[in-house]
Amino acid sequence: MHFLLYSRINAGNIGRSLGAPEYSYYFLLKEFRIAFERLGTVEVIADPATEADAAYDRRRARGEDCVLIAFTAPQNLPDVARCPVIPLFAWEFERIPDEVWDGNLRNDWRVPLAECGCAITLSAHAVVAVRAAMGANFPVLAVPVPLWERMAKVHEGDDSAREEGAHRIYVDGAVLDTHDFEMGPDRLRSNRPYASYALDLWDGQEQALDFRLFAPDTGALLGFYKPEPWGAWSRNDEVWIALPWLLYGDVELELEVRAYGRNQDRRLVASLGDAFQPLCIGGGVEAHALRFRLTRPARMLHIMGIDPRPLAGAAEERSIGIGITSLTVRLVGKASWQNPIRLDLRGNGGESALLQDFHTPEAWGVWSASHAPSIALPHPVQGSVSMRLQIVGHGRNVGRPVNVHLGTETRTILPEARLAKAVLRFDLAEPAQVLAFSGVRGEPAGAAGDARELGIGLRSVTVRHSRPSRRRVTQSAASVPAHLRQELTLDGIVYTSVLNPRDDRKNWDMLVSAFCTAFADRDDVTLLLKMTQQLQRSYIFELHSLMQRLPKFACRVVVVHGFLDESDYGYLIRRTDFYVNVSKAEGLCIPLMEFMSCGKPALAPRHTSLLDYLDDANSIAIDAATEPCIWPHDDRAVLRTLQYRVSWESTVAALRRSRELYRDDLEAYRRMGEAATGAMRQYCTVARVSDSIASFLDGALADSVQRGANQRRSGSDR
Amino acid sequence: MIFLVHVPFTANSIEGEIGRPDYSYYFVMQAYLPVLQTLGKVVEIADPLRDADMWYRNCAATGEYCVLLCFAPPHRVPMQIECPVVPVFAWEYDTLPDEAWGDKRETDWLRVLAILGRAITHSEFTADVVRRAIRPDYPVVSVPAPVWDRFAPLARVRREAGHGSANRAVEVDGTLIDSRSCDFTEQSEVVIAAHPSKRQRLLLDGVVYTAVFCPLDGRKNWEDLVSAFCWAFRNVADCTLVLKLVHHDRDKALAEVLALLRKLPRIDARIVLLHAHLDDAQYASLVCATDFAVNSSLGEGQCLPLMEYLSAGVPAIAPAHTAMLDYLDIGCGLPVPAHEELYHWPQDMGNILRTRRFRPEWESLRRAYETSRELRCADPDAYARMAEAASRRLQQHCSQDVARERLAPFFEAHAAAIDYARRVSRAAAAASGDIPCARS
Repeated sequence: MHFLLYSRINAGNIGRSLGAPEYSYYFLLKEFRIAFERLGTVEVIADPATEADAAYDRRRARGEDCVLIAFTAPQNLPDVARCPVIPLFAWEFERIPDEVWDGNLRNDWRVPLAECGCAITLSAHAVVAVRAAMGANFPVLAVPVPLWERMAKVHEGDDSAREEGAHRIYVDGAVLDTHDFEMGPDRLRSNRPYASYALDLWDGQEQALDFRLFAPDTGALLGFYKPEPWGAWSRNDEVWIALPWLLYGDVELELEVRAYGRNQDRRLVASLGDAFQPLCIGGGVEAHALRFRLTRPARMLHIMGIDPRPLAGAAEERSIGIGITSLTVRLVGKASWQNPIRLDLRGNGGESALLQDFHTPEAWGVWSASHAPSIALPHPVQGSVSMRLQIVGHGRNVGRPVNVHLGTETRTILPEARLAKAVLRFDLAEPAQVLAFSGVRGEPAGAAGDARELGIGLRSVTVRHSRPSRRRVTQSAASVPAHLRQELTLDGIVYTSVLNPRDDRKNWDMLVSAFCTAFADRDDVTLLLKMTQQLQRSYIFELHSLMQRLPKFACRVVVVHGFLDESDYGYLIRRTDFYVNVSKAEGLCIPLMEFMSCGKPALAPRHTSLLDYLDDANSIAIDAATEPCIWPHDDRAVLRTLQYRVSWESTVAALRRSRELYRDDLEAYRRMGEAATGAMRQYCTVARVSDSIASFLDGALADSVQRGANQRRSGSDR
Repeated sequence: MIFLVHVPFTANSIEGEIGRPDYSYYFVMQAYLPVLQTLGKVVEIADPLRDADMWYRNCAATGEYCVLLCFAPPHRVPMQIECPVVPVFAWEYDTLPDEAWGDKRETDWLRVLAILGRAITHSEFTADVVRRAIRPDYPVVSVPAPVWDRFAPLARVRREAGHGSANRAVEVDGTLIDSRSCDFTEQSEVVIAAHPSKRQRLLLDGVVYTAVFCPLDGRKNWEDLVSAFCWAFRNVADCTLVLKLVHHDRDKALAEVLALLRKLPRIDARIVLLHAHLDDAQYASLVCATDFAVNSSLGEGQCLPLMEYLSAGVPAIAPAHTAMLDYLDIGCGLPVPAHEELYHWPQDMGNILRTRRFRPEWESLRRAYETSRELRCADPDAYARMAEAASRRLQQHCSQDVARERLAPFFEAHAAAIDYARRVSRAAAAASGDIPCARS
């Protein structure tokens, strides 16, 4: 048998398609390929309309069978005349689309499915939904992604990695860690603004934030009332606006603002980083352009001196002061990226605000205070740059490699026992603004009365552009994350969820609120959310808003935004104690299966595809029951199918139960983990998956593909 | 005893206020009046700051008990008067606002309630919340609005009519939009314009479900009861859902509901939107025409419509939470399980998540529709027993007798406490040589 595999998104266009609806089908194709390879020859094609029938004819001429496996939702199936087509798709709702809309007959899935005559899907739940529409005898197979063998490697690596750095994970990207924040109503302050914050680098282009009702940027406001159609009123005597970019250089912030009552013509103060500007708003809706000269990166605009007292006798009872409609950021003058950077890190150098995880600077320079210290550069650098460091090692760091990260690039340096110059060259395709070190070993200072642990010492950092980059310099409108190789130490019990925050079904805000309620007084638990979404801005404001609104909590929430390669993903899995999923519906949930393969018990609702592999032996159940919802690709947004409403109350209870299990009965916890591994070994091996595909193809398929092909032909005859 | 009663809305203004926050306090006060009148003299006062102390001083001079019953949430209760004040308020969240917002100390309900010293509310749930927040022996009494006596006679009417004969008519002066004669997929403005308010007759048949709610009140979660009806009776023609919309702005209320109906699948069962001010007789005929009252709210201080329907022997489908725990059980209706979720106090402008509300299970709601129809159609005796039990259950809950039994000792204890305080302060004053006098 010859298999043609096709997905609309392929290796050639994946880069442009991150987050697109059919995005995950590319990964399904990659995962399933190995199963089809056991059954015959495999060829991935990019354009079935031109390639499929030709390949089919060639194979038939040789007396060989040929079938096109299309990894796509049925409405997007390719037009093929002769080659049999089997759609392979995920479905997580109760009812498949059985109506025509937008004049597209194929939106009624019964049409394309009847044409194909059979289908492969990922869960028994989807099979029930397909049969409900197509008839009880319609040949449809449920088969999971065969990921057991791929994950077994990570699982085996488990023991060896246990001793060294067992509490650490590594992230190439941004991290938002509630431990780094002071939070509360109207309050959100980061203690590690450069190193530990999810932020995008500002490319110097004009950017605007919109604060009108329903605009996505309203989450940037701290200390304001709920947005109204025109914008939002302040609530307190000082307010903040968290910008989603790290600003630098000479910038202008244009505010569209108004003032109420005593605040008209009142002398207010606006600050950005360490720069201040007066702000005085008159009686109307006014645009005020404030210029700031930033000597170090900044992202929080702070407006002070508002008089929030209500006017006596006024109908307005709220403590409104100033109102804001929008904010525009622009660079004044030319971008300063080409300017050289010279940082004097000695005690009188004045650059200590840029340092993260360093001790107080001394007369000669500064000692690092952790295994992964970092320095924010005053402005981003890009292209070919040379960096000169004056560096010294302490104790075991002498002569041993320390990693130096700038953007996505990493270099290694061997510190000497005394201050020495080191020159590193980087070729940065994307702008970078954070210089980070990793692999630094903490060593007692040694001197009497000095309790510090020291690692490496720095006196100065200079960065200059050496020559034009050989690589194409990115100037796209897409945001560039502040790439930073970070090590995170996670103590206590770690709960992990891997999800796309823009996918409403994932329910991540409910998870955060349930977690922070369940463990409000526990400081030994961490929720780690690995976000699989390119744009931080698409969820960071929502997270801001949630963090301000949750009552005080002692537990820790870590949001990881960035790429984890196979090895880093392995560290994350190993460091995890429970995988948690609170989705409203799941077509399969690959991350959950990956973590379970590695022996991590789950907390999850028992619904849709999750029913295929979760039971009481391998997971803790969360209550969920149906509610109406829309078909995801139906723009009419009409309620036609069902998903699951996951109980917040039950999520809180399940989280508490899981912690008790881990604390009080580690043996039972281990058994649950083993059951998880056992379940995956049964469920998603390549052998099992390819065997069930084989018998499916042998059996019902032969007829139905023929039937489908006939129907297609008769259809095209009409 | 003198009861000064005050509500922020008056009979003159109530029509324009319907659907606004706190408008239902007016109806609660109206229900309380007959009971209060049997306990003492009742005086409605419009401006407590101006009038309450005059009454109080006159009473104090003769030693008569005088109290101001303020039918309003605690932050709207006048604090700067001498006359003792007892707030009568509804609350459906599991914690009380305990924070002064800005310089507004009245928003701290704990402080207000602690100063006032006692309170009346309408459910054991709320009374527990108050006791938990202040102290276990805080004098708070749950007295649901006594509506039973007014609606109980309808139970007999319904029984004698054989629980809703085949055709039941309701006369209305208002708007009716009926799925049998109207296409909900059309633009809502078009639909609303085609249905002017007028005198007309609503004829009902089959199994009739009625929900009374304000569609702009987010707590009502009415979307669930409409969509669950659609899923339950997609292919069942003999069921009708009457949505009696309570809001002063007709078009706004209708548009809100039509926006949802547009998104729902076409069903065989019937949905009727009713926006009208019904007089007592018209409302009674709607109650009598109903087989089940429906509610899917996220929390209720007491829920007057549900209590009225149940008193009239109409079984109810409603979530088993907050106030409903006091009067809804499987004997008199179909309680729907609900789950806690994190929420903010409605008056909290910062939306800080520090309380809980209770979301009903949609799936159970849908099953309750199916079960209730089955019961109504297949087992008339069981339905009749349920109807009877409903009215009996509500008699125990919200009859005037029950209200009187709870209010009389509450006020007597209050009077005794005031009297005692007065004697103690007089004795203390005598001991210190001051001249005893009334507080000024």
